[in-house]
Amino acid sequence: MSRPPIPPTGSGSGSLDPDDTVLSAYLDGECTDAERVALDARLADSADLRAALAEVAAARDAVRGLPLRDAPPGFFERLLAEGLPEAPAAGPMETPAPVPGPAPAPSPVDLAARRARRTRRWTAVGGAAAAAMIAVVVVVPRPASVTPPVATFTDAHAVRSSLQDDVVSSLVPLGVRAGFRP
Amino acid sequence: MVTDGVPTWEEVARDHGRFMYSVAYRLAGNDEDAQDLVQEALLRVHRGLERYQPGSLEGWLARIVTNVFLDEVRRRRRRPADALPDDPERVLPASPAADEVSSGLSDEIQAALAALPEEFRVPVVLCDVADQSYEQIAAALGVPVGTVRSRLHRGRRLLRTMLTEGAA
Repeated sequence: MSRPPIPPTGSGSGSLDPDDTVLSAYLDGECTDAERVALDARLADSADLRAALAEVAAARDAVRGLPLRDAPPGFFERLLAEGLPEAPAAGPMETPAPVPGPAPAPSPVDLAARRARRTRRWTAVGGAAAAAMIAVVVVVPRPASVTPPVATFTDAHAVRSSLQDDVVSSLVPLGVRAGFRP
Repeated sequence: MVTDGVPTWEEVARDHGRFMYSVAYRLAGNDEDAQDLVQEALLRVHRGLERYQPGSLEGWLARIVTNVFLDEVRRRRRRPADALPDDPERVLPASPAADEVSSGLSDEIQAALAALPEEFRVPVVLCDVADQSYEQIAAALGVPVGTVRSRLHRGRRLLRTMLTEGAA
């Protein structure tokens, strides 16, 4: 971006005495009568001081010459239509009445409030979840191995079957021979 | 409805919103933060209207906007992740809107203003944008008038240096 020309005045910024705060006060009408008289006398004698005053005046005028800045279109209209996000303190102030009609577009107020609420809500949910996980890991004892001891059961069944009537084996005579037809 | 010289917050928003927004924008340097500042400032206006003493309404509003801005600066200092990036594009949009194309000089001044350290920018904005007296600025910032005078002068000198160097 090309910068617009702002011609320097006097002998440059180096001509300013950093302690000469009376220059700004002089321009703003904020110095005492004694200071004003003394500065007028100095200005009459010093071209450098006049240049310094002109530089401060240029900076002052630059900012004072800035136009009023408009908010983005609709910003204040939405605030006025939807009201402020919080109820007023107790007092004579009226609470803005809700505006009837279709739901308006989200306002900056809503977005800010929602953003804050959303942040708080998810922070709470996240915190609860993290606490629950820690509790599960730390408090609940880890179960022993759940692998079924198949070999042990097989051996026990074999021993039992060899010593007593095996229920399953005793059903064999009732079974029908199965086979494939030729 | 104005009662005993005390306006409602809606009237403040309607009649002085542009002034508040200008102060907020010159302090914050971008529209997004300026909107947040004005919204919060209007909320404080709403809460504080009972205590408002009819007088310099714009002085009171400028002070509220400034307090909101300083609170936000302090909050962001405590949480660096929220700090404004040192990105000039945030201050100066790369592609200004059509009605801003001819406002190059204003953009340059605004950029220089935004680049001022906050301790100098605030008194400059309060004096040269909000048209506050040194005494009012001192009261708003809680510092002696002499400090306002010094910071304002140094801020203007810095501003002038930036603008002059930018033009070179």
